[in-house]
Amino acid sequence: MKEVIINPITRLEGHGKITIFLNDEGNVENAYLQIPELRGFERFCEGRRAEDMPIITPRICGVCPVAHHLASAKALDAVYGVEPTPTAKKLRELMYMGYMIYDHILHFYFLGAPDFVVGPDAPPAERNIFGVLKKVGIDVGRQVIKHRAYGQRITEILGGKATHPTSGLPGGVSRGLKEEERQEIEEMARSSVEFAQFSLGLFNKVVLGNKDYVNLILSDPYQLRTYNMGLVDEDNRVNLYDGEIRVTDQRGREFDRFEAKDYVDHISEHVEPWTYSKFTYLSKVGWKGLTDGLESGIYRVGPLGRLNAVEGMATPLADEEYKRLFDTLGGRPVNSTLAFHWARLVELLYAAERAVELSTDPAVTGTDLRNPIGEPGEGVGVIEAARGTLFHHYKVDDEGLMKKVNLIVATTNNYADICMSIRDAAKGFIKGGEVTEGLLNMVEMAFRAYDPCFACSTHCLPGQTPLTVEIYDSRSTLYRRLERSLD
Amino acid sequence: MRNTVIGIGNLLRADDGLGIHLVQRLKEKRPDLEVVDLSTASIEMLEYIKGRDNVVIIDAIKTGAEPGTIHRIILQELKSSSFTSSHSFDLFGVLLLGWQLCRDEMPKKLVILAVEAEDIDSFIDELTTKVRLAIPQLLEMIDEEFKE
Repeated sequence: MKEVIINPITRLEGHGKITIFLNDEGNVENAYLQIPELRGFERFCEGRRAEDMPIITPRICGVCPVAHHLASAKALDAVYGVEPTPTAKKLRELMYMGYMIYDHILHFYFLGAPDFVVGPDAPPAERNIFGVLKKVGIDVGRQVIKHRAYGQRITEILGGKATHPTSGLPGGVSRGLKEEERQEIEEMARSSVEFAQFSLGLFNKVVLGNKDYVNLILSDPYQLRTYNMGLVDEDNRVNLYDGEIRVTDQRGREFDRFEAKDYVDHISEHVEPWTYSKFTYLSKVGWKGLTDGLESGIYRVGPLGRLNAVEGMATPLADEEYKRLFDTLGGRPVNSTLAFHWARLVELLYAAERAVELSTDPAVTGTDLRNPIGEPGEGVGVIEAARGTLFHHYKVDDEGLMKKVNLIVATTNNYADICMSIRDAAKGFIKGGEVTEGLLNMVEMAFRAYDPCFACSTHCLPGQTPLTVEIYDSRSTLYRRLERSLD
Repeated sequence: MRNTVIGIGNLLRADDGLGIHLVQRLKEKRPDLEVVDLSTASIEMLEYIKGRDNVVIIDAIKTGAEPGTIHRIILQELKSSSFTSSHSFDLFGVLLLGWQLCRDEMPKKLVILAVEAEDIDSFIDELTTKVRLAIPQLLEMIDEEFKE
């Protein structure tokens, strides 16, 4: 293969842009997706008051504000050396389940389902929520909207605001839960359990009931044999809010387990000259380029990464679904990228069940909301965002001002995996320089499974993030450009 | 009458934060209006459109016009054929879904006031001068939208 030389001027920019590099034979050598770069944001935070961070950081992203809010509050717990009160922990986790409910519903029905319910070969104009509604009916659509709004309402009750919560503080929360609010949450959570079960039933019928889809899920271009990562409780079950970070290997065995504060000893960052985004990898294994297997330190996070990294779910109905997933797809770990969608629904059920547990816990209406804080220092907060493990690392000076901020967001943790999945999907559609029909659809399915976050710049007009694929030949000359956007 | 102003954008990305800056100003200036601060024009917006009579959405836009230029867009019921995008879900998608799922609850009047942005990429919580200078006119236009 001829080495592809990339001029620094060709650094990739813009969101949702995919670049594919061909070798001398005109076959796919590598592929990259451009994701937002956060260094500018980290610098923006420096010099600001530490206590403002849980208010500032949710503004990074319109999609996962609650995850940033709580990762930030947890980082401040560590910075000020304080443990939140038992009630505060429950209230934070309950708010978090609301976020997980609405985010997972949104992803499955609006982004994932179009590929399966409408079909991977359907024209783009039909592969959207409206195509899904045509198939499943308007009444199901109303249930989708209703339960997504329930999740949002839960975060609003507990977070103070629906989109940008303000309740998380170092040492606890600023507001408690009234009995009538608790009842409202319990009712919404119970209804969400039923809706999650319905959604899993739909997946079972539409996807698993179709041999072609199952074959697609299990097909080679969608397999990645990486390590997997997620937060776990003491019994190695999924915990989205708190716990230790567990990493399992390609055979499902525990490879590493550590506390958030020690992440720098376990996770390293690799930088390539052609992108501002960093790649993360397991320090103990090392960076071997964009390749999978035991020798490569690349790992996956997010719904599938989490389910692969644990031994079960902590709620009964979700645990049954967890077992069914692995029984059906050949045991843990499941390496199929498209299984992210199924894993997401198992987590939706878990989040709803956990919301029922927390909202019916007598301690949740307690009044012990905040513990006194200590002197500022350094701290790390970790949480499982809908898209995967999220780290906030702060250094704060004696005046309580931010000295240093490092964020590792879920999409960064998955960045190498996303690039590899796109590359592998593209390989089947570009041969000898010939680009065949279906490239955009299959590439889109590959990265969509991870639900990568482009929302850091969120202006809505003209309204679309068009999918752009640029194909470069082995001399780094732009060879073809494919684009899909609103007419 | 339920009148609502929804500001959209990212407060930390220069002119992209216009909608949020404006909503903060309106909270003091027009306490009679419901004002909502949203990051994205995603499906969550539907919850703030449903059941209202008159909705104004404030956002930044890039069309190539002079920064600070205000565009007024009146939204009428869209035909589904105009929605050709796969997966991505934007303001028009939200409205289309609203008209499909809860037609009776959709507002009688829906207007977007979009201001031409100069910088939507820098991490800064301030507007550029040209966009900031458009705010007084924008506030007047909002008053106008809610005149009986």
